[in-house]
Amino acid sequence: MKSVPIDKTIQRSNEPILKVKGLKTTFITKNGDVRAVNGLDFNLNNGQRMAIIGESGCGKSVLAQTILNLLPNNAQVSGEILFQNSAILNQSDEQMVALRGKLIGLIPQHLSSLNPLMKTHLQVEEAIQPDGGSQEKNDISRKMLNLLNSVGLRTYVSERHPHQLSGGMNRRVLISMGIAQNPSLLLADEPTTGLDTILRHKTVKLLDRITQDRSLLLITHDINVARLCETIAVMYAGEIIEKGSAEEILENPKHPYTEGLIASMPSRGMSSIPGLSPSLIEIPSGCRFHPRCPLATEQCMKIHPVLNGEQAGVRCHACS
Amino acid sequence: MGSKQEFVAMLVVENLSKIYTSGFFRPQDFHAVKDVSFSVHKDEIFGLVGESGSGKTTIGKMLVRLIDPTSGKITIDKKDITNMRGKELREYWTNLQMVFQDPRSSLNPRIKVGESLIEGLKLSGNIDSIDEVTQDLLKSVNIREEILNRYPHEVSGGEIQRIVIARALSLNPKLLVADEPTSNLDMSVQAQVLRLIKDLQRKHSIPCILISHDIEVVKWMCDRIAVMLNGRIVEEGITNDVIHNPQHPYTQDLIKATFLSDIPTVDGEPGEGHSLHNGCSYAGKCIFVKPECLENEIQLRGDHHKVACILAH
Repeated sequence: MKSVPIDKTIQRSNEPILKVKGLKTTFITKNGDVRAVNGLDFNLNNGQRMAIIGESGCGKSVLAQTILNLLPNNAQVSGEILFQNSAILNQSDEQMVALRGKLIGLIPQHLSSLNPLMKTHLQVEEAIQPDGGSQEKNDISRKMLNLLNSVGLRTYVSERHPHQLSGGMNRRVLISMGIAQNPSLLLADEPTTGLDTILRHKTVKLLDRITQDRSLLLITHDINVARLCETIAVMYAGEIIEKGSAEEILENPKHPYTEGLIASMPSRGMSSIPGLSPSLIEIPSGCRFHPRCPLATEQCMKIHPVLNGEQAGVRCHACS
Repeated sequence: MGSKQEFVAMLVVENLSKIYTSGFFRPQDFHAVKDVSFSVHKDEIFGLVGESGSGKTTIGKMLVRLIDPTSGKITIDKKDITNMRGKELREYWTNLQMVFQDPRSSLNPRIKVGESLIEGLKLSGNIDSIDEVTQDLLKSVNIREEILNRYPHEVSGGEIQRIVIARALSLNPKLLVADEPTSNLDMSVQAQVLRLIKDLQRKHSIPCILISHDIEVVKWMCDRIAVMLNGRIVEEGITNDVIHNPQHPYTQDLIKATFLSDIPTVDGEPGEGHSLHNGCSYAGKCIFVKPECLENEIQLRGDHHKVACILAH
């Protein structure tokens, strides 16, 4: 079981906890190969919080599934993922079990991830000790109640089924399960979808609190929620097209796509980006954004731009 | 109510209530909507804002007569539609259109998008002009014709929502209710769809009710808004007045939450503990709470900017 030798103590340093290099995830389907993640590179430092934003179908959720190796059988993955300097791509299921939840926690996107037939306490207890280990039953239920309280849920919630709880409460149950084993890296996949304004606010505050001492990779399409993180990476058609500090991206976006995304927020005038996001089967040549880009030139149609810069950068001929 | 104001109200809602009863042996009442009154002018988008469970959707469904009100009155163009039944309602229904939150589930997955689009036109008997009308509709919502030959699962969320909007407007309704029309869509697509609703509403000049929990969307879209809490309107007025000068503590907190700033409220679920007293629904969470707040339900008062709070009067 213990084949991934990893140090669990958090050291706040510039040492990357997660390194992703040239990652490609392709789904083989009868309509063609769907290139969901297509050449992704980034580093996430220890204790750093990074948000990945982009439209539906840009491959951001597939990234989380690739990191935890939760992909269906028709997926092909290449590239490199290093977690605390050990390669975790293409590990066996057993090795991944040692990693999932304990070192890398996941808050899944859909509330349907909860078992509708199980009461909350059973589900959270299972997340605390998934492998039927040696912890005392009383210990586990005490931990379970502490966990529920720490995400702002009252004790009675543990005796309820998911359908008896509101969307916001179920969301908090999922969050508590994601941090149940105190992982050093948390992947949160769209943790605020389907929540109303006040619940969204509470969820963001909660995420902020529980990620004070761990790294966070936040996947979201809600730019306001992405503000929680220090760093933002913008994804388009399976690759990062711009990254930088949250402030820089939100106040001074460089890539025309990022600009468009920010201008589509109701508070920034709500102008939409023309056209649709590209099919991941037939990805446009050259710059993947050129069919929708107001600044596209001939060069953009032919040459695929590179992301200039390590910590902050933009993938665009016009602005690099 | 409408006659006092400077406009002629197209839609008038008076003292509308809905009580759901559940349980067989010991039935329990749940007041989803309590004594709601408002009126909407024909060139206006009226926003209903509130949290999940505040009764927004129930009002929307009552307005298009998908559910029957327990009490109260709905008048459209001086015609009382509250008690319409049978054939009369079936014929009038073309005038009441609603756009739902999840566009995919409002189309039949087994028939092509194009068939769904013209179904209403066919049933209403305008068979001769169908092709012409369809072309106009497609142009107005900016959809390529090839999409009509696809099934709902083959069309993107934004396109399908535009098809649903086109279908709703194909019968020249007298009322359009849009229930969270963009909460399942991406931010960039949301902008397209909301602009479309606004343009079409202006062009057709029909009253539109926009239901949303997103203050920013409502601020951009609506002429007037009503803020709902536990089935009641707690504040109503011109959008800019309400958003820039909120009077009810609940509205103030809702606006703060939208911009993710700190809310100084008591923790707990909305409306929690409300059943213990008869007073204001927000009393349990309000930082300005006074003993009077717990005694009686506070009425909505005011002229243009109405507020249901003792502090505001």
